[in-house]
Order: sequence, then C-alpha cells, then structure tokens
Amino acid sequence: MRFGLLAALGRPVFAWALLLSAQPALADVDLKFSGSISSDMRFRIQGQDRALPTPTPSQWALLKNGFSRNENRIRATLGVKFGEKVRGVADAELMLYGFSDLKDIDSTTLRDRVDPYYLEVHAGYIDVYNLFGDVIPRFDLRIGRQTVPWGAADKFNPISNLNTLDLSDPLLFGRALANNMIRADWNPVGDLQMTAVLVPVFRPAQLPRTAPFALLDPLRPAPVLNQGIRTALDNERSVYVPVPDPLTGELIPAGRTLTVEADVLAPEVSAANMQFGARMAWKLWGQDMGVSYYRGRFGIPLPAWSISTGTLDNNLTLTSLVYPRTDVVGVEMAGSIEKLGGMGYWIEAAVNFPGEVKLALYDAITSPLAPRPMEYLAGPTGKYYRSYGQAGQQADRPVVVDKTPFPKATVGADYAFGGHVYVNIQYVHGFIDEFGAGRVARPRKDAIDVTAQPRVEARIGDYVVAGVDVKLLSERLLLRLFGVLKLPSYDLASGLWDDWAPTGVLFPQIIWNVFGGTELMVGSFVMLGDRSTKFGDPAAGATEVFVRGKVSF
Amino acid sequence: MRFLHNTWLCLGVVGCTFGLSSVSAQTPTGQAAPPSAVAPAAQEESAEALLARCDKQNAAFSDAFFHFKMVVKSSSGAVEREVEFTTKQKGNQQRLVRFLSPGDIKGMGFLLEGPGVMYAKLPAFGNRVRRLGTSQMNQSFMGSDLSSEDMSAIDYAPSYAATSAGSDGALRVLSLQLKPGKASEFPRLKMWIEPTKAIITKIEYYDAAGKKLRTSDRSDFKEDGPGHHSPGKMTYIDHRRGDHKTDMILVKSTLNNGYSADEFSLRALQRD
Repeated sequence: MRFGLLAALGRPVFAWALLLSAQPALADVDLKFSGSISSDMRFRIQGQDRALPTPTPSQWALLKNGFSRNENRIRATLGVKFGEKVRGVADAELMLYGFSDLKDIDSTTLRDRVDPYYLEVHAGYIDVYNLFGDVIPRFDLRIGRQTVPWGAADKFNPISNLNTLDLSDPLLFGRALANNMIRADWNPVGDLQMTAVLVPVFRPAQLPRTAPFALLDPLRPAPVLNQGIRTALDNERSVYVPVPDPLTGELIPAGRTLTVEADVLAPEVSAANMQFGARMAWKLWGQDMGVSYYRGRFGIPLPAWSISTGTLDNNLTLTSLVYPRTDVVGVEMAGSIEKLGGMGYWIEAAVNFPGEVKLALYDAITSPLAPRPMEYLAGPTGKYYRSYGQAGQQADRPVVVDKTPFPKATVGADYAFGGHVYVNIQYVHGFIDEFGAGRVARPRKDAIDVTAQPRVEARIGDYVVAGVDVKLLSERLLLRLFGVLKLPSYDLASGLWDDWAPTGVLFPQIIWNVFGGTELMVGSFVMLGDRSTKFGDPAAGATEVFVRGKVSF
Repeated sequence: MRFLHNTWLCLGVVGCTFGLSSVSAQTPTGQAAPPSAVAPAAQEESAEALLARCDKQNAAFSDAFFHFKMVVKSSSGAVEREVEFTTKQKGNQQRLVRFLSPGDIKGMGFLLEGPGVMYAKLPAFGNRVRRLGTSQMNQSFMGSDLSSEDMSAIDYAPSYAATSAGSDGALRVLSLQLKPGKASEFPRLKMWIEPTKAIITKIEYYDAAGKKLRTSDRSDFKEDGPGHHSPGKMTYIDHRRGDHKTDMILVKSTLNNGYSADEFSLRALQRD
C-alpha cells in the first residue's frame, strides 16, 4: 500500500525527500566511538559467608575467604552528532560474571548458565540543542536514559538524587544508575543555568550482594526509632537463640527456627509517583553557587510490613520493604581560593523532608486466618509490651522513618602540591546509604546475643574522607591511598551522642599506566571495625584484595 | 577512591599554549594585535625590540583552534606515552581543551572560563562537570617535559631583560635574564630567533648558576594567520631527566575563527 502511494505521487516526491533528508545530515554527521575492556578479579578475606541457597549465578557465593569477583567488562560508547543541533549517545556494557550457574544437568547445556552475563545500558539519549532557536536561545533538551549528576562535592553529593546509586561495587562508592528522563536546560544569560528534570518511572538502587545480611538476619535489631519497642522485639526473639550450657559453655540449639523473607514493593508506575527535580546555578564573585529541589524517593528500601507466619517453633516472618518518599532542598557552592594557592573547595548541603515509614506488624501464628495487628505499648515501668488489636483494625505502628527533616552535607577541599602529590579531604554528614532522622540500633557485636544492649547511633553519621595520590616514573605509576573514618555523631532531636565504636575503610591502590589507555591496578579495600560498626557490618561487605586491568580506546 | 582519577594528570594542559600564543599582548578589546612581522632593515634591531616583536608575533590572533599530538619519550627514545587533544582559545583567559586519546582520558574536557575559574568534564563519572582549584594547573602534564610555565601564556619581554648574544647563521641569538621581582623556574634563557618573521626557533633554559636545564627546539613553521607562524613541531628535552624528551606535533591550527563567548561556557563543555 505504501509503495503504491509513493508510486501514485510520482518522482517529484521522491526527489524532494532525498533533498530534504540529505542536506543537513550527510554533510554534518559526526560519529564518535570509544570504549573499554576490563578485567577485575577480587579475593574476599574474612567475610561472613552466606547460607545456601546462593542466588544466581550460584557459583558466585559469599565465602568467608574466596573469590568475590571474576568479571570481565566490555563497554562501548557511540555518539552521533548531526550538525550543531542534534546528538544521540548510546553507552552499553557487557558484563561477564565469570561464575557459572549450574543447577542441574540441563543447565550445563545452556550457554547463559555456564557463562552468565548481563548487559547494562549506561546511556541512550538524544540531545536537541537550541530547541526553540532564537525564540528562546540556549534552551537544550535531553530525552532518554541518562544520569543527571548534581552537586559540587566529590562523589558524596547529598543534592544529587535524581538517579539512584549502584551500590553493588564498594569500590565505586555509589555510581549513578542511568534512568529514563526528560531534561531541559536553559542558559538565559551569562552564567545563569536552569535545569528541570522529569523522571517518569522510579529505578531502585542496585544493592550489594551483601545487603541481604541486613534484611534477612532475624536477630538483627529492628530499624525502629523507639528503642523501647526495639528492645521488646529483641526479647521476643530470644526464644530462637541458642543458649550456652551453664556447665560446658557450649551453645545448645534453641530447637526453634526464625526465618525472614523479604519482598520489595516498587512504587506503582503512576503520575503521582514520578520524580521531579529543578536546579538553578550561577556564579557570584567567581564562585559557583546553586540551589535545587528534588521530589521523589530514596533508592534503598526500608521495612514497612512484617507478618509472622507458620508456628512458634518454625516462625517464618514475611517482610515487605518500601522506598520512602522524600523532598530534598539543596544548596551548593564551589570555587578556588587563590590566596591559598588555588585550593579547590566545595560545600554542598541538603535538607531532606522524608515521608513517614511505619512498620506494620501482624501475627498470623496465633491467628492464621485473620492476622492480628500488633502494637507495643509502654507499661508503668517504661518497658514496652506487646498488645493485639482486632483483626482488620490498624494498631499503632512503630516508626522506622519519621517526618522530621534531616540534613546531609559535604564540605571538602583539594590541593595539588607541585607536580607529584594531590590531596583531597572531605567532611561528610550523611553517607550515601543513610536516610532518616533520629537514632537506631546497630547490629550487635555478638550476632546471637539478643540480651546485650546494641550500640545506638544517629542514623545520619559523620565521616572524614581523605586521600592522597603520588605520581612517580613520569606519572606512569600512581600510588593512591584513600580512607574513610567514621566520627561520633550528635543527634539534635535527642541531644545524645553515638555509642561510638571505631570503624573505617582503607583503600590503597597502585596503578601502573603501562601505555596509552592501558592500566594495571592492584589494591585492597580494607573494612575496619567489628560487626556492630558501619564498615565492619557484614552487610557492608568484607575486605577485598583486587587485581584489575583495563584498556580504553 | 581517587574520585577524579586521571583528571589531575591532565590538568596542566588547561592553561597550555605551548609557546604558540602570547595572549597578554592582546589589545584590551580582545582583538589581535596588529601583525608586525617585518624586521627593521637599515640598522640592527635592539634585543629588547626583537623580543617584543616575537611576543607580538605569538599573539597575532583573536582566537585559535589547535590540534596537538604529544609524544613523550624516554632517554633511550622509547615512546612512553602519546596524547592527542584539541584546544580552543579566545583572549588570554578562555580556553576549552578536549582530549581525543588515549582512551582512558578520551572525552575528558577542561574549561578555563576566566581567572581562577576552571572546570573538568569527567566522562567516567556520568559526564559530571566539576569546578576545580587552580592549584591543579601547577603540575607537569602526563609525564611530559613541559613545565607549568610552558602552560601559561607568557610574554617574554615583560619578564626578561634581553641582550644580544651574536648570531648563528641567519638567526639572531639573545641572552635573557629574569628581571628583578619576576619569578621563574628558569632565570636565564638563551633564545634563537629568525628575525624576519620574529619566530623563536630554539630556547635553552638555564638556572641561576648557568647550568643548562632544558632545551626546546621549534621547527616546521607554517603561516596559519596574518603575521602568525606556528611551529609544526616542538621538542622539549629535559637534561635533568637524562635528556627525557617530549615532542609536540601540531596537527592542525586555525586562527581568527570568530568564536563567541558561548563557545567557552559550561554549556559548551557539556555539549561535546
């Protein structure tokens, strides 16, 4: 039918189409291609091993000591530009796990089981520059899969929330995950920049493989703000904990099991759940400044429902996790202080206005057909005890995240000493995975001692992140040492300091630039602190030693 | 967790003009100084006047585009590193640098927007654009033999007192001494100049005691604008590093392109 129509219209139409399509495109097409091939092998040391079954790929187990990564990545980026008006960018990466996923004899016949892989698309967008020509000059539009990194700080950006983070690799400290967006930028005059972004569908953060340690450990203190209720919940779990034999000291199994299964409830795809952000930036006295606003969700889920099923002896607790809503108002500033020899500095702060998350608790053990809501009430001594509501009614739920606004901030500076040494230091209030006001209990140092009082810390912690680079051998050899140290934090609402324990990260690396675009790296990522601390927590990962190679083109 | 990995390795080049331009000779309006490459004929031109004419020749354009290939070689001549980049510049404080190779810095860009205002575009971090401290310019560039002074567009006449040191064939040789109150890694220079076009063909760099520290040779000149000649090749030899060598090869240059201020904005840095 189409061919028939063209034939009916005759040659002039065809000729015009050729003219129209050929004029701007063929003359001004600019293709750019780049990419990389990399290999990453890591060995995990003194981690917490995870009980079977291991998720896909099954050979990639979390061992106490063993290979934690054996991956290869092949990445390609293609950019095509049509004159000065339009550009398209595609950036995709093929990742080969290097671990097999063999479950049965059939799986050994399937290539994607023997050699599992995934494809990640980092970008797939179209830019249209000067969309409205001279009517609204310098108005650009970008539509498609993209990242919108905001903020002046180095890596720890409390105002950058449009993209959730890839937390799967601790070495990346949270890379932004691309998502489908519509972004408009307008530079009306001088240094004034205005940006508006709409994100139709929420993409959750990519959690590390160790995250289930936090979510599935039944003896881990519940992340509720009220420590009285948390203690009551802990006490109820004591029947599932092995007890030491008073004579031998050996642990006697409790004879009862408590298992947690967690489901994640992604936000419904609806207009009400779209994310939105706007930012305005300008320059004043040579310093960059900006304000921003974000409305959306935090990328790491928190528990919102929990129902105990099965029997008291074989308790299966089903938990549902949700992504909390938040509004974020941010400010930022960055520049160079010439009186200090050109030291770079940055200040970035955000106030989060979170949506409330409460933990609904239900008991289906004593009432399997009509689960009863549970609530915890304070007795005359201040001790909390369980109370049941009527089935179908809503009880008073303990708060996981309350509506209290909380700040996150990063202040930092960097300086290059001569030609060989670079130093970077930042104070970070609120790590990339932290959300919510108030204080919560940390995991216990002894995982099964639920009678011990856990340490309680402010949810938003304080950290010093610092590092130094030293360049040697005509800059072909780079020695790098970075580290993170957690400081004691003060909770404004309660007026209490953390029950602090030392913890941090050391990240030494040696990077050898063998030749143009080719790097060989050895290093380690050392987690310091006991299991009750931020970085000693098994959920945060374990110490790793790595060897990496990468060639970029 | 070096977040700006490779960024500071490249930053030295932001201010770099590699002796191709000497921008402080620009007129206040940013227009090119009038070309004056014709040597006075009757009487030998004074050393100071010749040096000033070299400065003018270097700055005889309003804006420029340069495409360089830099080859860093060991003392034995083995190639250690090759870097390719382009730079657009306008006036003495606006510069946009983009790296073409090697792959680990490909796509990285730097913008020098004005005094002390410098940005980096980092492809490895989702094309994030970061403001940078100017201290990061005070470093060598990717293991090359270029100093920070090579990277800042200096005029010689305001900083050095010139005296004639004879001739070398058709070339005039000047001896330059750093003026009081001026600071430089190299307090004494010896400079070879082709006087007709006011082109510097060779510079030897000395310390205060007269020890030769470095040599730069410039050759393959071409006239790429009215009264402006760019060297097709510059070779820097650092004698302190056992004659470690860096070749700067000018692949392409275009002058007086009519760049607007928009070409040196954050928007321009992000666009490529």
